[in-house]
Amino acid sequence: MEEIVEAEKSTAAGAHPQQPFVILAQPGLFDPSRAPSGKHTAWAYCHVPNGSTVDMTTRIENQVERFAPGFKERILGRHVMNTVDMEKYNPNYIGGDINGGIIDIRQLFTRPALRWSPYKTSAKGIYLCSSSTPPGGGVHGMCGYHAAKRAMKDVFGINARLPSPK
Amino acid sequence: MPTGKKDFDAIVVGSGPNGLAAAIAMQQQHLSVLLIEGKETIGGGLRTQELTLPGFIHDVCSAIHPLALASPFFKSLPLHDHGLEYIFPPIPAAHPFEDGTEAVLLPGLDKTAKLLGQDQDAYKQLLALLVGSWPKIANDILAPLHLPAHPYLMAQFGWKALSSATSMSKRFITPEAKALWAGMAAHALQPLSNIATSAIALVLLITAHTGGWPLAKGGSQSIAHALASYFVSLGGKIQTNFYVHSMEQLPSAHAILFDITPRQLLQIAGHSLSSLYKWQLNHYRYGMGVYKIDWALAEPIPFIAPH
Ligand SMILES: Cc1cc2nc3c(=O)[nH]c(=O)nc-3n(C[C@H](O)[C@H](O)[C@H](O)COP(=O)(O)OP(=O)(O)OC[C@H]3O[C@@H](n4cnc5c(N)ncnc54)[C@H](O)[C@@H]3O)c2cc1C
Repeated sequence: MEEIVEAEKSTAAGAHPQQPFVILAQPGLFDPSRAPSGKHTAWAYCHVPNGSTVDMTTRIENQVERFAPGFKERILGRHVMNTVDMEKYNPNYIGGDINGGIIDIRQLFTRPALRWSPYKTSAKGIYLCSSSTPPGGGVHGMCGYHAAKRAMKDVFGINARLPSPK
Repeated sequence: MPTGKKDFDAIVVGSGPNGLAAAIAMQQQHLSVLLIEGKETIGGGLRTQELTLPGFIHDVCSAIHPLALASPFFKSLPLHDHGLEYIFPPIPAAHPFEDGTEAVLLPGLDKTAKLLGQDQDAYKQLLALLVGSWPKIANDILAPLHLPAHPYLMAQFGWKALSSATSMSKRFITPEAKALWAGMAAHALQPLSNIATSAIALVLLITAHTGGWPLAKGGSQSIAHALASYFVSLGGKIQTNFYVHSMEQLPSAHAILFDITPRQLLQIAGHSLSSLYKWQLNHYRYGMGVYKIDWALAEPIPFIAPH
């Protein structure tokens, strides 16, 4: 816990911890379609300051090796993405921020600006529907759904309701 | 209905999960919708590619889908009929310690609590009510600020969610419980002492104990494919390889929804926005970035801890 708190605090303050908090998964363990028979895939990421181009590969791999000696010998290939690669890959990841903006007390409910509807912009007929709007980052589509609901009400006079689960 | 002939009723720019959801919600109401994507393929944070070696496929961004599973809107769609299958790993998450022990998050609330020894009761106290009432409150939590349908339950979530993760962790004594909690909260991409980091941790733990933390079979791209296939089956149109730099490039429409962040909206539509709104968007703040590695491996990672 202390290690995670320290790592996250110093990263937000602009530093690159020697022992970053690493989030890791091995999808191939549960989905054999991810790799040729008998082989595996894994991914890991750590947080870095917005816009950072520091190479964290060794630090992440050292962290994994710490808890799984022998890990490095099993690597057949690797692909890395720093924050600049992230933004190039998806222009929504500004400076490598994958949540479309900070989620703190001020921006949790007022994303992206304090307005009657967060989805409506100041221009008629133009709406925001990304994870920069409530309820924020993650794959759930609820920002898009609520933005569409708002637009349909304003522009087309349609009151959409959630259909019952299929 | 607005009057005047337009090319489409609505245009959505950006085909991430939110763009796809917006496009589907409008096409379901029989509006004509065009979904535009700047890159070659749709999906945004839902793409899966051969990043390392031939035959190894990797989720470029999102990989684990408790939120897709819990989403009231996605739940209402026939995504299984459009090819989406979830796979549920038996153990959603584990946090190893150097001595070979670990903190483990299991699908069951009671089972997870039991492994936390001294913190068994504290863990249950934090989550039991919320896990039990999740189906009722999910709609309110995954929504903009509004009057909730279940005010008491929402208040329960709210006061827990709005405290900082560091102060919440004071409920726990064992390193296992503290690590599990901090690991979840770190997903908020900001220092754990910030207020509201608990909201993310709570949602992740509640979803682990309700629906689970599934992967999409064949990679996250399967979610985008299922959404797109359903959208097209309703009559929706998709155009890829169309990067939008300005409003002038777009066909005409009554409504335009952007699946992009404030800074990009300023570039694309800045001239049509009021100066107050522009000022607000300019003050929108972005958070920490991520550094990601994907590996192709000869064998699974040999963790000392069993999970
Ligand atoms: C490494 C990483 C891991 C993640 N892990 C998870 C996870 O495990 N689970 C989870 O739930 N979430 C995860 N996320 C977060 C999740 O991917 C995002 O929150 C989600 O994709 C946001 O959806 P969106 O629809 O708002 O935007 P996006 O998915 O970012 O989609 C935006 C789309 O708009 C397009 N676009 C942008 N600008 C233009 C333009 N001018 N013209 C045309 N098209 C444009 C982009 O190309 C992109 O396709 C992860 C993200 C990353 C990067």
